[in-house]
Amino acid sequence: MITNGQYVELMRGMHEFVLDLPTQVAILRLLHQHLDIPNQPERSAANAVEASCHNMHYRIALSMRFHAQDLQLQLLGIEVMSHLKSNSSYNHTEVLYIVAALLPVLHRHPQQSSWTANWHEFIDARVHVNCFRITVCVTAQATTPWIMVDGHNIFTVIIQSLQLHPRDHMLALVCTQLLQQFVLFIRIQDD
Amino acid sequence: MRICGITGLEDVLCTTLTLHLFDAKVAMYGLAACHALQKLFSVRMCQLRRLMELAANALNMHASTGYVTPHAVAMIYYIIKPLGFTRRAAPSPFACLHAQIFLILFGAMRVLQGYPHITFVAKKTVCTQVFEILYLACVNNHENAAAIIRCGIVEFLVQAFQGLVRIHRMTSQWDHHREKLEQTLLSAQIPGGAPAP
Repeated sequence: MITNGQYVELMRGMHEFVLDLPTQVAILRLLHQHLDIPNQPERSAANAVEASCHNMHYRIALSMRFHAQDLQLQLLGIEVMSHLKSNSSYNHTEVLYIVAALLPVLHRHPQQSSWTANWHEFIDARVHVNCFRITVCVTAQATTPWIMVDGHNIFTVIIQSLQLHPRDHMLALVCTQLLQQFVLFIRIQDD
Repeated sequence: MRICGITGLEDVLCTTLTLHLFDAKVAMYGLAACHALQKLFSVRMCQLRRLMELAANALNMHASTGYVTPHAVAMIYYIIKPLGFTRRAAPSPFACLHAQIFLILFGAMRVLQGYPHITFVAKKTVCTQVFEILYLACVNNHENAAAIIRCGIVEFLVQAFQGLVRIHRMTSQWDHHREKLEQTLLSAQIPGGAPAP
């Protein structure tokens, strides 16, 4: 079991050494070995742990994006993410970033069929609980610039994934769910 | 590769729905996205007939899972409403019209039979939309009107609606649509009857 303090340090390490592949792999492997990550932090360390928990998906997604070609890191990242408890406190930008980070990663390594299930589970558990929050945030701030990933907005990423893998059932489920949530709020590029 | 226009999005959604329509959740999310697109960008949607067919098939396929029905009916409604049955949405009106009507009604009936997870508002919306679709199908089309009279569809719907309204103690907008439809059917029964207002 990782203690709250150790957990905070690990998250700090992920953040500070995000470009260092061995460090990232080591931290993810450690997290993977201790998947009973504290979900309800002790009151004394509540703030620090909450902040770290809050950023955990985001940190892992960021690491996965920086080291997109490393299969081991990708696999560990997705598996750790899949085991994280549902956290409804993510704001819409974080959720979108995580989703946008995962979609292309999933398709860079299509041979990893075991990811599909994890990915589906991840979306179900995390994005779904954020539906309402996303809707509210984006409606309230209609002029907020849309989140960009590699120069594309998330719409492009989702559509590209569907175009590349039209027969992937789980992907179709995830992508249509996301499109359904976002379609009302996105300023779509003109034809 | 231009992929992010309305046309591109519509195309991707249609393809996904075609390939995964057997999955009720994909059907629901896909139709909901299409329905929203149609509402927002109706002028720029190019595959209306395909969308109509997909919605009708989804209704037929997932009638037992009530959550697809509201989106499928809404999809058809938002296509039919601005265009009518005889234009872009259904180039061969007779071939697909009857099938569409019965599929819509089949889906609507299942909804009315009561799914606890569908709210009254959603049910009412579906009912109102079904009435209006039927009205649009019958106006200036005596064959459709005759088919609807023959099958007693209006009676069934009225009965189902009254049940709903009584349960929820609410007055409903459906009365207006029912009257419009009944007038149309009445004029269709009289040879050379006046066209509906």
